[in-house]
Amino acid sequence: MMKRELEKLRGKNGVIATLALLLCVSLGANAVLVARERKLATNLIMQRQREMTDVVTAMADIEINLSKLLIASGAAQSVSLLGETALLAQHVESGLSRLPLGVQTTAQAMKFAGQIGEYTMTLAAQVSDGGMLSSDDTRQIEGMMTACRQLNAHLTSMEEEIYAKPLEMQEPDPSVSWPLEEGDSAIEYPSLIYDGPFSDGRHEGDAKGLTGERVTREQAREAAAQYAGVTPDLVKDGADSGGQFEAFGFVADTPDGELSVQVTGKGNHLLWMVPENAAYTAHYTVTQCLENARVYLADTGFGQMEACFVQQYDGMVVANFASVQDGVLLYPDQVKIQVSMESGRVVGAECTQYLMNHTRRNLPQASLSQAQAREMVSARLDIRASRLCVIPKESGERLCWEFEGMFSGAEYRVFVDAETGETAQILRVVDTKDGQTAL
Amino acid sequence: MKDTRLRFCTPRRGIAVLLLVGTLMFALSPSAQATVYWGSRGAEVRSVQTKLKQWGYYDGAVDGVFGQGTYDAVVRFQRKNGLAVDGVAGPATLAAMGISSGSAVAASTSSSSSYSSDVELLARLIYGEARGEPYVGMVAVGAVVLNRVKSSQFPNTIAGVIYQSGAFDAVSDGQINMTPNEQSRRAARDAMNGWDPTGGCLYYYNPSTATSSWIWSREVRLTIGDHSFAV
Repeated sequence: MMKRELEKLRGKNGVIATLALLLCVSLGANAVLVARERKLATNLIMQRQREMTDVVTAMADIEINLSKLLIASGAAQSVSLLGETALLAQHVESGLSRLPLGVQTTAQAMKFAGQIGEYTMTLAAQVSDGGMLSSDDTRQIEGMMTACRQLNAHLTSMEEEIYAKPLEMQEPDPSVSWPLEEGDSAIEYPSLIYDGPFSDGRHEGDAKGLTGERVTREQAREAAAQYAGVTPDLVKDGADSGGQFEAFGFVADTPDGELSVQVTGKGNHLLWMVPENAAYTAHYTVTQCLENARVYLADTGFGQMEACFVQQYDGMVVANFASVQDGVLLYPDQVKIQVSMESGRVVGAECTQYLMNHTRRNLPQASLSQAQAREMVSARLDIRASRLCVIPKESGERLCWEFEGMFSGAEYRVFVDAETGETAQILRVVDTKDGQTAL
Repeated sequence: MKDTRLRFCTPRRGIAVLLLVGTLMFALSPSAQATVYWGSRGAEVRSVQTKLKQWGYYDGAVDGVFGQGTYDAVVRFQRKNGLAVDGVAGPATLAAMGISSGSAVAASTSSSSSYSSDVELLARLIYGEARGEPYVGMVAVGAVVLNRVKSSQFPNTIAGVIYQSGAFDAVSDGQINMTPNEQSRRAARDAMNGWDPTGGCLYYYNPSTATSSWIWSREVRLTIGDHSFAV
């Protein structure tokens, strides 16, 4: 009797002891996990604080550099301050993208940092060419200094607000509106005008190739059918798109599967076309596909075009074609064409560049002859072909002699300005592992 | 390439296509070169640009892309230092800059893989964000990334844009680490080749779940599948 009760008691004690042991183990393990998590969280917080500090410090240094610039004398001093400022601006720009603020919050500040970088580099070039800071420059610099100070004040206040929260609350929250956002008047970003891509004075030009009258959806459907190579009854409505090239969207049922086709509402131009599934097997050769693409472009109103670069992937030949006017290749007027190597038919196209640039040019006479231009090219280049072409440059288009040649086993294209003889550009063409080359 | 992904010191859009292809063809090349030249990209180009900038030959951005500005600077450097003037930073030029061509080999290998790693990263983002969407919707997500690379308001590289804090859910929740399918890879390549179904959009959102009033104020240019694309 006693014995049994004793055993019972021992059994009970055993269970309790086991439970206690389990409790200890799990509490211990939990403590280890919590400690580890806390350590990781601390690391992350420290890293973020460091990033914020980096941005704020660099921004403050920019402001100091700019103020020194206003009283600097001598080109060397100014150029060095400007160069340093440009590097700091890059630092700020990349730092901003790492702050836990979300894209819409940092967008304006990043644009401002990018502009500081570009603007100071433009000024550095101006000063090293012997120029002086104009009164406009001085005014812009003062505006930048004010914006730097305001931006820093805001970043500092946000820093306190963000880091006061627990870590899991520090993630970017799109519903929180920070004072840095677009349209916020707390920071007066100066309007910066200079010679660079992000300058405020710059705007996209008109689309020169977007000619013709407005069309109806049904007219666009007929055009889409022609671009896709089927009858209009096989063309369903797809998603329309807006923007500079407002377009009707269609989906065409073709022997190559479904093709999405976008036709501009103005002028019925092909904007782009892309196959839904492209796992084509190769029956046709690259040469046959290119010839089909050339014929397709002539038949669908693009006029005379020539292939200038070719790639090959997913059973498709993907080629850049450029317009030809009076024997001159117009590189700015390019379309990209995808040809299925299974059917040899055109299944994809991308025509934005072409619609942006295509127009009949008043081509100047080349003042250099081909032989004269040839003199400007390195004797090391073993030239195999040459032609006149137009290439796009920042300052507008330039008429060039293009020389295609070999140098130590690689193919190069050298572009010599047909007016000045200056080398405008050098491209190297490389065979890819699939054996496709630029033509 | 970045064609997007193209940040030359001078031309930003026009010649970019031409260079894009040039760069792309270079980038696809499996062979490693001990030199850095027009169209090269990556850490080695960056170190060449940094040196040239320190010494005052180069005043463009240190962006790791060998464009016109870098070419001109290399030519000036070579002329001034009695080297063969060819605009190619080969072993002799790199040595004169104090950069060993051993590291140049590694860097230029990484530069030829930089195109494929950009395609792969973009493909993973597309897969994480838009798998199950119509193909055009997948290309459109890729195009948004590349439009951001070109925009002044976003980072200047594909990786910078994709990993920007809070930019993409697939990055925040780790879905970007899934292996992409072939369709995502094709969408990434098409986007990098210039296909932009969005007409220049910088944002997209799911109209049935988006809560930010800010995003609703943007101009929508394309709605396809679950996504509205906006500028």
